[in-house]
Amino acid sequence: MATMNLNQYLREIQSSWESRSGTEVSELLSFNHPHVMSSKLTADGFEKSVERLVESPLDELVILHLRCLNCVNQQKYLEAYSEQSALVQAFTKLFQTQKEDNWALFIMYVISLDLRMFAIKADKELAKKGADKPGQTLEKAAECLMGLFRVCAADNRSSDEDTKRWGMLYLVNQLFKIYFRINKLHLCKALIRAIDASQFKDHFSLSQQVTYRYYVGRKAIFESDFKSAEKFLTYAFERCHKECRNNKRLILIYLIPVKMLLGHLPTPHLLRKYDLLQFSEVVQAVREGNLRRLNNALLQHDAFFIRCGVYLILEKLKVTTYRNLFKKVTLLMKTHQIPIEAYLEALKFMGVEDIDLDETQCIIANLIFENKIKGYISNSHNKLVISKQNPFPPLAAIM
Amino acid sequence: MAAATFVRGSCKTMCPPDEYEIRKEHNLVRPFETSFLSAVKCYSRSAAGQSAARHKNIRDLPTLENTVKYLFEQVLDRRKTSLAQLYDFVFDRLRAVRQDLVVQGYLEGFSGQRTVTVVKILEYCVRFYIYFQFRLSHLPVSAFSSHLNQNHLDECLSQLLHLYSEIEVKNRDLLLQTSYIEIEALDLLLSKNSAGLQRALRLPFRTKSNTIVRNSIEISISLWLGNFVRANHIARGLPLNLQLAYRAHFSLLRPRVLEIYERGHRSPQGTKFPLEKLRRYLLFDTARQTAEYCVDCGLSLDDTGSSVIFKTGSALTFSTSSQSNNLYDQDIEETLDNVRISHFLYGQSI
Repeated sequence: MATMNLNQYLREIQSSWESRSGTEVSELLSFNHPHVMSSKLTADGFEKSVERLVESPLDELVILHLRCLNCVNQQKYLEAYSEQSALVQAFTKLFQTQKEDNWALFIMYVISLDLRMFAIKADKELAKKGADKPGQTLEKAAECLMGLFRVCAADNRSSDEDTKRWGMLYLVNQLFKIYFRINKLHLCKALIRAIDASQFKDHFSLSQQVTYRYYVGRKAIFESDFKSAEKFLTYAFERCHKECRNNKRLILIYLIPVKMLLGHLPTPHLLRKYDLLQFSEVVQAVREGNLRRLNNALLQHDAFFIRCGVYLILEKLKVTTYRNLFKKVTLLMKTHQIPIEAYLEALKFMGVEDIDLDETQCIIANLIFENKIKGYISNSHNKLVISKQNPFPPLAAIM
Repeated sequence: MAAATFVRGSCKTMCPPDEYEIRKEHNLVRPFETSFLSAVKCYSRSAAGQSAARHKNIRDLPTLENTVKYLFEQVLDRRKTSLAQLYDFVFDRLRAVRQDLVVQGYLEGFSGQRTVTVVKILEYCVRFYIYFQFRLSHLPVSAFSSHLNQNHLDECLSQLLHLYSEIEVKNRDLLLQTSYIEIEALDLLLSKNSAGLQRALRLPFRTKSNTIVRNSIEISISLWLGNFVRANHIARGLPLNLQLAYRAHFSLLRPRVLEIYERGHRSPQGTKFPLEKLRRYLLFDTARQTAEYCVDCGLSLDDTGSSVIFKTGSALTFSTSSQSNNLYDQDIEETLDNVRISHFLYGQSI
């Protein structure tokens, strides 16, 4: 393959096209296929050979693909992007005319993946030149993919078997990857609605569904909807192929904090297995109700947590840690009416700086508000009066 | 960049002569505008199909800067009428200033030292909105629209953040001539969801380690965890304009604060909670305002009127209370009365 000459390549792609083999054509237009290693495909005047051996409308796609390859070989990614973008647009038009047919979906998959990859590299090139807006090429790529998405979504006349709507989820996932990267999460909403409304919702390929739920789960975290986040991410983690360790690890980076917030702490074994030991101190601190340890653990790995976007959920674990600490204090006091001072002393002992009764009372009021403590504060006596039954209900039972 | 489509203003007076003539004719000259020299261009929606002579009605950048200074030092500082009337006039004239900036493309990208001037004008505007948000919040909506003021503030903030990032890419040293630290902190303190916090956490270390930004992040995290006491405590140490912004934002959280305290203290027989203490948590100026707010939310007071009663089974209603937006604070008012408004708006009153 890597030494394939131009005529071989052209004959092969033409015959795959004639036999409507989506996978074969897609490979020959993909940058993840060894034909791109061949130096013979982009020799001067390749356009002439294409016109001679490849029929319309495929010839346009092939020429654009080879031009793009030529740019990639010279590591000119801005130009590679614009060739690939022209290829995707030409394909979009062509695809639209193929009524009641979806064999070309595989082609759509590879060319949209490559489009996104080149956009990332083009943006890096622009950044080196001092561009105004980071992610501007990716943004254009997203528009281009939206064009494809519209073609797929609008195809509601074809039979279930032949409809292009099967391509929607793949495109949505590509768009998610872009929107998360350029920080435009609000744009995901319309896409989620489109998938939710789709009759194929639960019938897309498993790998696409896993990716989809990973992003929808992360979006739910961003909106502090932790219950939904847990649902989506758990699905993604359980169904993700076991060989895809790195993907499973990525899912866990979000699933672990969400689970912790909902009262389920991960085992040391899990953290070791997926090389996520950054979380282990956090887990220990929460379990012990040890605020000092939690603060240190957050400080130690804050760059990692912030980069992943989970720092704020981990901060929220402070509330769980307060609950665990206060539970210990309450057990020690062996009464149902505990002076607020007792909790204040415990917080001071944990190194919480300049804390006073007012703030302690505020923390307890929050815990009661969130149903993490059953009871009430008697302001006149400065005491927490706890319920005789189960004053500290398990977190998993509340949420 | 479509730079060619922007006009370059050539008007050298605060008010284009044509406009002044028309307004005089139609009796639209305000009392502040005693002659052509003290007239300031008023805001009007930009209409389509403007004539080629449009540039004559757009003020150039030095004139815009002078106009803002005039409005601050000759109108606001002199305080010839009530604050509400001053606000009404200057709000409109600043809007026209910002419009002149927009049509000349100054908010698009970096144009050297000029961008620094533009940034300064916008920073003055931001402080203007914050200052009056605080001082006029107790007025009825007919006299002061907190909503409109907030919209203009938000718009200026996002324009500023854009320009800072432009400056940072093109010439980072110029950033030091701006108040970007203060504005980043303001944006965080005024942010209504965790998006502001997410952004702040990703700021470069040298910005994040600045005391003002660091404190603002801690305030914002405390609020996120429901720890209002800590947030209020740290906020007291902020520079004055940030304190005002914090209080404006906090007023939106009052329903939640009240709800948390109510849930935390309510008992079947009814718990008495001193209004004086609740006043501190809700950042009201007087116990009377606090009482009015509680009653509007459906709570009852005890016989002496000095405590509110939290009783299991009562439901809070958060329809708008006349006190909801009230930011009035005696101590801060007194401080502000002793500060020249222009000093505050130039960022000198810290």
